[in-house]
Amino acid sequence: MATDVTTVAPVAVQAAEARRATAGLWSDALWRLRRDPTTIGALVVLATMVTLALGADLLADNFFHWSFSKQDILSSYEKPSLSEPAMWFGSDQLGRSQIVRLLYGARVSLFIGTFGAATSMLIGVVLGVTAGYFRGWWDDLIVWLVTTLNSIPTLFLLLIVGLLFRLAPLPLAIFLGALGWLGIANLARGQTISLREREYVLAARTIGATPIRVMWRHIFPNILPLMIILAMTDIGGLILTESALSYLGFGIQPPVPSWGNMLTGATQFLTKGPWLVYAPGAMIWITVLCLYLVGDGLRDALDPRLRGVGGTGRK
Amino acid sequence: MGRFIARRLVQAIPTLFGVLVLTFLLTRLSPADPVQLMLGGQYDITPEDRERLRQSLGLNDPLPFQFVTWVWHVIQFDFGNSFYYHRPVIQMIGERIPNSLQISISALVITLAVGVPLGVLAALRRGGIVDHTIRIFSVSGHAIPTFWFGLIFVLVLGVQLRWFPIGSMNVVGTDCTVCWDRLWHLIGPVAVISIGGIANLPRILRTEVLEVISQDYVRTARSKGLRERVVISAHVLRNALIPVVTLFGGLLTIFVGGSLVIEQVFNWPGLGRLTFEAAINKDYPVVQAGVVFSSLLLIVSYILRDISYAIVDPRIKVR
Amino acid sequence: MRRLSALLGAALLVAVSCGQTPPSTGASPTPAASETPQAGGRVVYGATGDPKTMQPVISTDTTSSFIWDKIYIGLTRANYKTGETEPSLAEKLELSKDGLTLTYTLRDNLVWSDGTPFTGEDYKYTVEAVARSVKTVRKSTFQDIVGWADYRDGKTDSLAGITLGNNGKTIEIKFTKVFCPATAAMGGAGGGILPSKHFKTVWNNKTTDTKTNIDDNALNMAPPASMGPFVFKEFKPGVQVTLVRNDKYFRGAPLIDEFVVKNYADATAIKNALVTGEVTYYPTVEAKDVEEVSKVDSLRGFRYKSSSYNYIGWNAKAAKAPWLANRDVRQALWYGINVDAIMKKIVFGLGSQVYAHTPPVSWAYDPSGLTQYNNDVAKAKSLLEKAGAKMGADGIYRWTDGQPMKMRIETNQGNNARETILQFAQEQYKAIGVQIDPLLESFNALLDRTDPGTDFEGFIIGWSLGADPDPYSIWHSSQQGKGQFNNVGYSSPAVDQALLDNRNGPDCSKDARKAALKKVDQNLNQDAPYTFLYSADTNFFASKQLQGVDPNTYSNAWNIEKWWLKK
Repeated sequence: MATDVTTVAPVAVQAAEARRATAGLWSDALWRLRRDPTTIGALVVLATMVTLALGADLLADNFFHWSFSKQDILSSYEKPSLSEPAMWFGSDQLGRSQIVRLLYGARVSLFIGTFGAATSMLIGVVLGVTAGYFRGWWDDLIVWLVTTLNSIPTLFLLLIVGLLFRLAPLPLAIFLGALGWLGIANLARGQTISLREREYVLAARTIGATPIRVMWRHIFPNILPLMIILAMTDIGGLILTESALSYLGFGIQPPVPSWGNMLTGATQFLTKGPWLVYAPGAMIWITVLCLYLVGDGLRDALDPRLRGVGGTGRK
Repeated sequence: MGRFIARRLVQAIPTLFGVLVLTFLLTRLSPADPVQLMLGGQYDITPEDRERLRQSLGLNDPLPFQFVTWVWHVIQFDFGNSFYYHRPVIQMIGERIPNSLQISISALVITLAVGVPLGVLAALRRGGIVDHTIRIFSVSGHAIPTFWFGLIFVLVLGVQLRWFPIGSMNVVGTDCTVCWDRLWHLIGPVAVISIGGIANLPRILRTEVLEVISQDYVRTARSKGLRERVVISAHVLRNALIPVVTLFGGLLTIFVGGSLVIEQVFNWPGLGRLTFEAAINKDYPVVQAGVVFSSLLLIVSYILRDISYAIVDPRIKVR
Repeated sequence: MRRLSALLGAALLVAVSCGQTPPSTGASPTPAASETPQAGGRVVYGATGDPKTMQPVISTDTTSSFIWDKIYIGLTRANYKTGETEPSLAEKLELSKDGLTLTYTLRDNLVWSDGTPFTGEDYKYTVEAVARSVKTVRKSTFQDIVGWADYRDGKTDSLAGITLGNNGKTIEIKFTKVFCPATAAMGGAGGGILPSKHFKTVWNNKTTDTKTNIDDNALNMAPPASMGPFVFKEFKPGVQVTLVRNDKYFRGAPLIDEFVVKNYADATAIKNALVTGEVTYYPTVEAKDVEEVSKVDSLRGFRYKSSSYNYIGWNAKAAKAPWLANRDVRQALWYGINVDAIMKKIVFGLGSQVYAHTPPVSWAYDPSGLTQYNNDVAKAKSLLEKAGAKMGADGIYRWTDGQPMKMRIETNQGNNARETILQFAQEQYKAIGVQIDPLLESFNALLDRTDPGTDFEGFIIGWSLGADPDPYSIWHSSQQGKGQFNNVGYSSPAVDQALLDNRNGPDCSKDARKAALKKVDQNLNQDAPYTFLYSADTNFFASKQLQGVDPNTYSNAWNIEKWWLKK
């Protein structure tokens, strides 16, 4: 009940503060994380997925004995069965192993998500910090760019791009990243603007430190935790966007599997092979869910405002 | 307030300009020859005729000049003719926008009507089963791929169970807009597209409500003996709503952007589906217009959001 | 819908247009005593996309032709089962002994839906429209009419070869040379006959003044009058086209009140609509859906052969794949793909394999002596090596110029069978050392890209053929210009001669033509300019409420005025 908050909190706060009085930001975060089962669970799932995805080639060759493009049309639409590892998730309309393709799809999706988020981070941080630091015409330009890009729905923009080019995973990741830096830039800019008036920054500028040095040593480390959290959420969003794009036929082209393009003809499969519809979609869902949970968990763990508020540790 | 609105409108102009520049540049990057696209399928045209067409389209002029001419036409709502259907593009857009708006606006209403109470509920029943359930539902709903959810909806609830129509705006022969038939057909696309928003809203709202509840002025209100309901609505909600209004922007991006896939899945004759089909047909004028108009919709909704923001938090107007 | 390819000239089109009951008692099933036909009701048909036009002269896509087909009809049409030419608006047609004059006699008292009398003037106007139209693809049908070139180029203001007599009741067409498909092809006049009285207000057939244009005018999307069973009512873009019954239809007013063509996103959406009852009938259910649709209680299915086939075309003029000009390579590509597996797992047995151009349903079909190219990877490889290819270290053959044998195959999105075949082919050809780069695009883009030229290599598409077999426009070496249909660069003097024999006789007897066509087929089978795949059966499904339906190869709506809905 609401009243519990006001009476219980001070006690918990004191106890917590006493213990963590001398801890730094990261170890404190780690402590919080360890007591957060949901986030730990999500991390474990993600780690498993990443490992499996990275080892897709090895697994395909040695465990499944089936490559992602190998077809066996005479055994198409096989129901999932335990008869052989490659058929654990059944086969599609060309007799390809669904589970192997899901693995490779994981690789593609995670790659695009991570690489795209990294690109976003890079562009966003550079543009946001410089805009917030230098102000003036550069800031105005960046703000204009952000507002413009923010006003065009992403998928529409990607349609035009898809019209012009057939993108391989790497260029696609970069492109998606190049459209997704807006949130990061905004945050970076906002933080930079407030940070640049702090005493230690003013001090650095007074003694003649170059702008780059100031940005790199003083501003950047302070915004990093928030950036990381945002990036994690971004990976999830990027995976969703890439899936939708590939589903529409404008993203990753078959036979390279992506969870999105595995669903492209999905409507046609529901009666012949429902597992072909449910599995890729579920994979996207679970992956993005875990990414969001981890993002949330990290945010909760790293957010200094939470220190001393709430006994259960999670907001 | 009027001055605020006027100021906001003026601020939108550079953004609109940016959208036009970007759209124009991107489509001009295409390796396809626009004349070839327009005449696709017409083979008795001599090279001289092609050149004449190229001249009349201004394709031999320098790029900036082409841009200015294009913007001049756009301001007069002239986007040329569709390469595929040979009809005025603006006519095609005009036919479709109302349909898309029906989904977006309904989705916004539903998201607020369902999301806000859920968020408040989660905050008030903090730590309990209700809170946890809502939070799990929240994150899951936010993570679900909309197009997949839509597919499952159509295939399972529509084709297999026949609980809902499999698409379209009306049953054939019925032509009404404000009627049960239309409402029934709206349920599918609106439910699918709002799931993301309905999921996200409680999360944000819950955080904000919690923060507000622990504030001093709330305690003061309570100690004054005010009824809980008054405390919630008058003080807590009003302040917690501020970030919710900020969320409008994100919601609308989802609705307009998501319309592309949802309209395809639900056979809805809207702007998203028109743009998508035009993209497949390499019908550049329509794709351009589709991007410009969907951006326009977003810009307008951002302006409306800022106005709501100003209403909810009077401090904004001064900034 | 989209999987049907570009339609050929009228000679081939006539057969696919709809028709009416033959003069004698119809072949439609007689209703049981308790089921007397009743008037009323609405039939809904599903189509992908909006129609591009509702005017036959410039129409090229199937959604459009499905609509104008019910409005504008021809002097004759193909019997729905046999494909033989039978009377429609004309009650009699006579070909002179020398084969150079064709005379049609119209029925009495023919009127348009708005009351205007129908005369030969309408027919002549339509043919002249084909001559002067820029967008049409039907010119080759009429090129042998006397005075064609002169009128087409604007030197005369009337087509000399067509004369009207008896107050427009007789139409006489004179040819410069014998044209064997004439009796089948001429009646359609570009698909369907236009109401000249209305169209003259938007295009004047007597002038070359471009201020009026047959290709670009308001009536093209709003048919003003109809001779067919239905009249145009309205078009709601993105939603549907509505047609209503034509009370003045010469076969008798249709029993159905309204015919709606509803716009759907893709073929699967139409199938779903068929299953849920939103759509009344759908003639082209895809092979993979037949099993599911057959299980639906409320639907009734018909299966019959189609006059079409699918193939992989190989462009002998491809700049990036010079090996396609080599016959051994093309034969290797045929041996290299397992068409039998395609029949079993993509077509699900609902069709038959083909080895040359003439489809199994045609009267000229003769598969004797044709090589069947049964899947043989070893043979394919040895043929490639015989042609000069050398295996590279990466498993891809190198051609004589050192280039790796890598090429693109493209097809259209939205056709599940073709998309699956494309992916299947990619793997199959990997096994014989040829690397394939697959490309999916819209049907429009596919047609555009595969126009005769050098910028494409392989492509998967199909031909939909009329009853009268005249493959001249596809295989003659003179038909390789822009907009023409010999887009694989095929050139064979023997075949050229056989094609002309079939088309221009002078012996137009079935035996003579069959012999000529056999020669064409045998050469095509050996030269392998296409990897011929299969002719798919048509799977027509309709709601059990729809009575009177009797679809077959050359027309599924020939007796549409007799259709009725059981309540």
